[in-house]
Amino acid sequence: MKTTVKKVSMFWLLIGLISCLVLDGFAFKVPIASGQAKPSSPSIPKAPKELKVALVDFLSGPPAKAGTAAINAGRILIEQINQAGGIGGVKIRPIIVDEAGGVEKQVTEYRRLVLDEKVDAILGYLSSADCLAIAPVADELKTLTIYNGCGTSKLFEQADYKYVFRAVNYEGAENVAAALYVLTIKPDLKTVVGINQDYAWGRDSWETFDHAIRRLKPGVKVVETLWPKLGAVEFSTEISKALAAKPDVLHTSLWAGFLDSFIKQAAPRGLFKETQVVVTVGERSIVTIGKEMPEGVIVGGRGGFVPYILPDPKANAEAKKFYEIYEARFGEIPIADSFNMVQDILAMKAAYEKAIKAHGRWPTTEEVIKALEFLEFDSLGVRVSMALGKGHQAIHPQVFGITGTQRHPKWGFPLLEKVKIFPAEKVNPPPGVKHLDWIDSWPVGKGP
Amino acid sequence: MKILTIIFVDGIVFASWLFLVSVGLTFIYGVLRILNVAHGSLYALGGYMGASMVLYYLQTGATPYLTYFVLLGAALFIGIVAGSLIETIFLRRVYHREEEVQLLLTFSLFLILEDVIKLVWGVSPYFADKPYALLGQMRLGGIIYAQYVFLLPGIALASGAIIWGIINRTRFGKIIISVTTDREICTSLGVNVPRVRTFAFIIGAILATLGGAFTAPMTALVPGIGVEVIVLAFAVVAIGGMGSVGGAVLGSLLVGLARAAAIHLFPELDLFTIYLVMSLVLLFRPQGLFGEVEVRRI
Repeated sequence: MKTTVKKVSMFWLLIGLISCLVLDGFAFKVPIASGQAKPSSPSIPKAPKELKVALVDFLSGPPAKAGTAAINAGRILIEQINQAGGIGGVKIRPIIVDEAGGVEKQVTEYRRLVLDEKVDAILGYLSSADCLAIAPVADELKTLTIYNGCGTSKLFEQADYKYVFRAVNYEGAENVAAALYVLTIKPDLKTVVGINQDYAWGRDSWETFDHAIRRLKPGVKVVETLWPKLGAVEFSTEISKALAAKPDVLHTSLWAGFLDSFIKQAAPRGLFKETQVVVTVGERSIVTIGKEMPEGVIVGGRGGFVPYILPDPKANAEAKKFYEIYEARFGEIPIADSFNMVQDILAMKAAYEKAIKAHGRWPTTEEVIKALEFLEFDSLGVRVSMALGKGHQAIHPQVFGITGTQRHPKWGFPLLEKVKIFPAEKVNPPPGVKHLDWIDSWPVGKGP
Repeated sequence: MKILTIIFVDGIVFASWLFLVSVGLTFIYGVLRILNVAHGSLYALGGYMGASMVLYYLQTGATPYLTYFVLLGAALFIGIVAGSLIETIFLRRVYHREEEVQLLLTFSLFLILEDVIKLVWGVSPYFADKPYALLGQMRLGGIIYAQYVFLLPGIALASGAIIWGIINRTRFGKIIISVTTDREICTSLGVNVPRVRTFAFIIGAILATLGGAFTAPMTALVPGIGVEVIVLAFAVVAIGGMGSVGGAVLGSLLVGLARAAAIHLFPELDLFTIYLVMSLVLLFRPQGLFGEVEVRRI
């Protein structure tokens, strides 16, 4: 009996450790900053010697590819800004932090960045769970925080935050655009299946798409909604269920490595031939899977970006230069996450510059926040407006397309065909209106 | 009837995968009395090594049908190398220590190996799906399955049979049982106990790397894949009874079939099913289904 009790105790100790692993992490902080800026000699009154900015994204775990692409882009842009003299003559010192490890760890890490590192601003975050948990802490610690990758609509529709912003589109814009786009490809669709992860991002994404598609196409029947666990990479049973349901359209907001695994398991089973699959944030997988990416998949990009389409290197010299530098340095192309981080940094820069101009001196955090609310700025040729969430949520164009037969001449991945760039106002509600209420207000059978 | 067929097939495929990723864990516990958290890293190492070797092999232009043997070879290679290094450098020093210390050591190894994997293979996903698509598809219950997934029950059965054979039909198996039962008497009888333990750990490590290598063709290899696996493996081992290979078989089947039934009949319960099964079993049998207090544990 004693042996049994000890084994049971060991088991619970083990469960504790594993919980630590899942919740607190196999994450490792990267405590330093690359490209540390030398103190400059700003001419603006009350200017600090440097602007300490934390860039937070996944450097380990399944989303590490996305996070690394974001951080890499951040490094490049900050170097460019510093080489050009910084913000108001003040150079940016980036502090790179791994987002892996779970919500509790990230909240603790956030407090450390503010209280110990004394950062001036914190940019990034990919996980919706992290964003929701950190927002009230940001307000408590009065620190400028600009999110990018996390897409949950609950952030600004269920609460107001003074110090928190999100400088890229959220899932509402992506899933409204997905519903509008799928009807241009499959106008006679009758049945839909959803496969979305069982947490805020997956649930919110499905809810928006479900609302939009039912409003746009009355009579559409949702035949199955499947909720794989966040972290799972084995989808054979979900794929069986989807194949058995034989839907006209399958919607999924699976992302990064999870989506890659899903595509790899589903393609040989004919899912992409039997059903029109819509992946709302699939542009990363086009790049990572490359030439093996199935044809005929409707794809959007997180935040609205798809490389070479938005931002468009042919239409904007800064974008062209950014693509060239990124590809030369890292030997790969930037992905949506890269542009999400770029947009965060440019939002911060634009706000500081506006506040400096308004006050004639280095601004306080509150003055920067005031400047960022409802700000409009350019991000590598993309016009961004902080129009929603009382000036805290960005809107900008959203790209969707379908994978075709043509390949990128250099990188080999399938190019998108029938590309549609939805204007920001077409896929976002008016200020002050929640996106589901806005969708429900559309005339039945017609879009916005 | 059709839905039952699909549930059964999906359940068996998932159960086979679960057995592959958990049998090594329970075997090592049964022989060495160590809960090896680094099992997840061994699984990941097997996956990455298998994918790398397959990609390298395919570049030579040789027949792709031999990639299955390449996966097997990669699993054996990395299992032997990593298993022997971990056992001789680290575990050997803590056999006489408290179980908590052993657990913390393997947990540390897990964290270190996660970073080693990132250091060697980077953060970009690895794909080696040629073996997955190569065997073609078949229709079962009205839907298409990649025939590769039916290799998994075969590999799981072979692994289980080999483990059973080693333990019950070989001299080495008898020595393992003796060492597990009474290390001191074995030592006094001239058995080289440290060597037996090293071999036993290597067998467990190979089972982990085998699971990783044959999972590699059907997934994207990304940093952190060992975390999900270790959680599932521990759940299966807890259900079946720690140290019991037979328990791992039953635990895998229970979880696999329950999850498949949940997804097909009650999709909202997907997340919950595995832990529901585990909770119910532990509620009535805290030692697991096959976890009787007994002298012989393997």
